[in-house]
Amino acid sequence: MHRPSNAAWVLPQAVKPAPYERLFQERLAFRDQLQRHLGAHAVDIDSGIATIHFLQEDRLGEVTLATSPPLTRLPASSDTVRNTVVHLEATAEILAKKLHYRMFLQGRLVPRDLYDLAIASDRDPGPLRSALSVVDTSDLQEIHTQLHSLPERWLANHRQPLIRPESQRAASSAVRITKEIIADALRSRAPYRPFRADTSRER
Amino acid sequence: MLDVAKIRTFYFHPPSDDPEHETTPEELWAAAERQAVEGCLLRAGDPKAEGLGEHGSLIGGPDKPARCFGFNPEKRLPRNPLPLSWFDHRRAHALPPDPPEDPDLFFAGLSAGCLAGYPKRPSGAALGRIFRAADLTPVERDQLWHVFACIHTKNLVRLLARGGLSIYQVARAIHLSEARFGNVVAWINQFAARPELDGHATSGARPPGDR
Repeated sequence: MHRPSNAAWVLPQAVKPAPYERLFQERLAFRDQLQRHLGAHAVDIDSGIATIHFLQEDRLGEVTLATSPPLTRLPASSDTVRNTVVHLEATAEILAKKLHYRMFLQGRLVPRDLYDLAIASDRDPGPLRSALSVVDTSDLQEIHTQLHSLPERWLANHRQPLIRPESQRAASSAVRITKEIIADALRSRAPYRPFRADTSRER
Repeated sequence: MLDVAKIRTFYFHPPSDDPEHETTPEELWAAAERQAVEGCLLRAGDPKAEGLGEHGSLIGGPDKPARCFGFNPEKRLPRNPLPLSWFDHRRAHALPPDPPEDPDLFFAGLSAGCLAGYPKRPSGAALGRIFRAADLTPVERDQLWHVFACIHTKNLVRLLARGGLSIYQVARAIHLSEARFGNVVAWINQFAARPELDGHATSGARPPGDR
């Protein structure tokens, strides 16, 4: 672990679209169940992502359910946590979702995502390459342009600072490192790769 | 993580309308709860019976009935963009590193998608010009407002790389159109910086035609 986190991602293992469509269609019933049994304070189900806010010691914690099929070929690994086999999401899948869903589709830039990408370039370059490879060239260009427009000292002034990052170098230079990672990925691609058509989920 | 104590404070003491203050998520949650109570009272309902406001767990505490929104107030509620001067820094004026191949085509798609049915809706080239203009007619302002009303966030992102706009131009378009949509304002405010901080443009540092 390279930084503590108070946000969780839950990833249903099914890969066919039907369960995700069902979750979206039955989102009101799902919300009622969460409220009744778990005391959720807000359930926001969007195409691709559901966010649930829970009360935790007088703070609202956030759980994100990725309601979309995985982006990479090997989305989960079978790890053993306290003698129980748990399908944890693979690093490449986590990074791909951050790039595609949060930074491109939602247009949200948060220090923790940039830090994760920056530290992956140093410690886990293989999964980072896999994650970048599933993001379309035009989407990467758009993420790169957003990073290019961030004001100076953006990281230092952000409302959601990193929690005890292990690498101060990656923490302080996350924007620059992420820009370089994406620029390198773009340079390595053929210049006239056609745009991928939007999926029905994105339209 | 949201601070529930702050939500409760803002519920009873909403902040004053300061254009230089960026609305916090806690303020939006408090505003959503106030709106729910006001809506309940307007339709002659009973906030206590419905577990709203101080009668629900969010404001009243954990011993009150659970309060659950079916939406995320941070996305749904209108909010104000930060002042245009906060986007007057060097990087916000920078145009995309790679100039787009056909911005008119991108704006034509945006016009077709967001202004379908609008009388004499603008062509791609005309909509691009509206986005880049510093002065707009009332009709152009209305067209921009409608574009922001239904634009998908991914197309906001594409205004830069595919539309060839700078962050300053997008921020100015949002201000001129008086669009206050949560997703639009949350996205543009990410690129704001206090004018007194480093990196703000001097008058000679801006690309030509960017004012």
